[in-house]
Amino acid sequence: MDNEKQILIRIKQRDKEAFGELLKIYQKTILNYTYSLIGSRDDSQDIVQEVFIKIWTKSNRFDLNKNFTPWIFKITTNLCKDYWRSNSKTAIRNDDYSREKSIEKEPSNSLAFQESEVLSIVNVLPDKQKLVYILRDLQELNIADISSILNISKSSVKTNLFYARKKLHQHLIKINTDYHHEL
Amino acid sequence: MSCKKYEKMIFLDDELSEREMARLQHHLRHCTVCKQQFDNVKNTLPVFKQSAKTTLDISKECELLKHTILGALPEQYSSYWLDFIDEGLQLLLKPQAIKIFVSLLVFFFIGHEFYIFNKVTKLEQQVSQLAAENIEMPSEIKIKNQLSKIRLDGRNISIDKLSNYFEKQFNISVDQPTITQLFSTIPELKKIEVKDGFSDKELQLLAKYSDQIIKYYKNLVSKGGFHV
Repeated sequence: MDNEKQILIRIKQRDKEAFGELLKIYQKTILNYTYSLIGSRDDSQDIVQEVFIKIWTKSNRFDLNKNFTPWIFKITTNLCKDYWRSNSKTAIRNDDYSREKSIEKEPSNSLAFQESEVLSIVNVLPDKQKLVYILRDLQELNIADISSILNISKSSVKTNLFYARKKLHQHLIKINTDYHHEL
Repeated sequence: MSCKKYEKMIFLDDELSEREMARLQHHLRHCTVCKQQFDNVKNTLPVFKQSAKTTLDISKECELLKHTILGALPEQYSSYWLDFIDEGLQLLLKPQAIKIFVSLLVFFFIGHEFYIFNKVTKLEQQVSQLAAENIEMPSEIKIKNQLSKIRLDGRNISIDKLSNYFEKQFNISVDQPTITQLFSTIPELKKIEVKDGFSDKELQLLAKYSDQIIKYYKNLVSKGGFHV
């Protein structure tokens, strides 16, 4: 964390090399997070680029006493929400998804999912529950950070997480039952 | 605690304190339904989570992206004020903000209508009370009452309505020049422009000087020259 702080101090001094180090630490996480929210590889890359350019141009406003992770996730989440709005609010709508959807599922394991299936399963959740689930279970952020990213209380994060997990569980049970009926 | 309440703990077992976890474990030892649910959850969600983490990992595509980002970095910081305006506009255009604005408009409209309704009801009560007690109604109350009714029914009082009012109330017919002349005789009413509609403030003035209006009108009629 101290190393990260040093990098941020250098970024504030307009050090592009330090920014490269920050990219190395965060770009994979942010790219995967964005992709899990919007489901399009090309658009995810555009959003990630926008996120990091925002961080660079607004780095003078970042408080070094605060944690950097919630800040970068907050910027990313807001850009993804904008993307949802400008794309008629359907989270998963992309070429990759439609292409993969046509590929038949390998019947090796009922709970082993393809990329498109994972995206469509996560997409059964309402927006807020989806965000909480992805931030907590896939990105493994803590409740306090999620609460600050989404501007909601910690108890609201927990409630949304509960409903998200419950809904996913029910959906997975249904998929599993349908799968065994088909066999 | 009922099983329903343990349901939340089953799905959020990784968020529980030691004490809550002990309580859940104790419950699971005694409740087969909850134990089965707990095992089911453990057989689905972690498997899906692992599957999702693996399939949604597209980090191989990062190297090219890194160079694109580094190449696109601008030299300047973004302007604080431009960002502030941009964020403010985005906030105002959010669906929630629009909903709140429309709700406030509806709230104020209903409030205003209720205020007028209440005012008229009070006046009517006052009028009926005076009538019941056989007390002669002060002209100010009469005019206020009448004007409020006209205001309430027609939403806006017009010169025609005011003429009708004079006709009904005092059995006299007045036209626009007459009303203009009437108003010009009272200094406080001179600023009222005789037009199609009167504002609330103007109506208040008319009601306030109603006695004088009637007095001056009668004088004018007695001197002749006006259509009666």
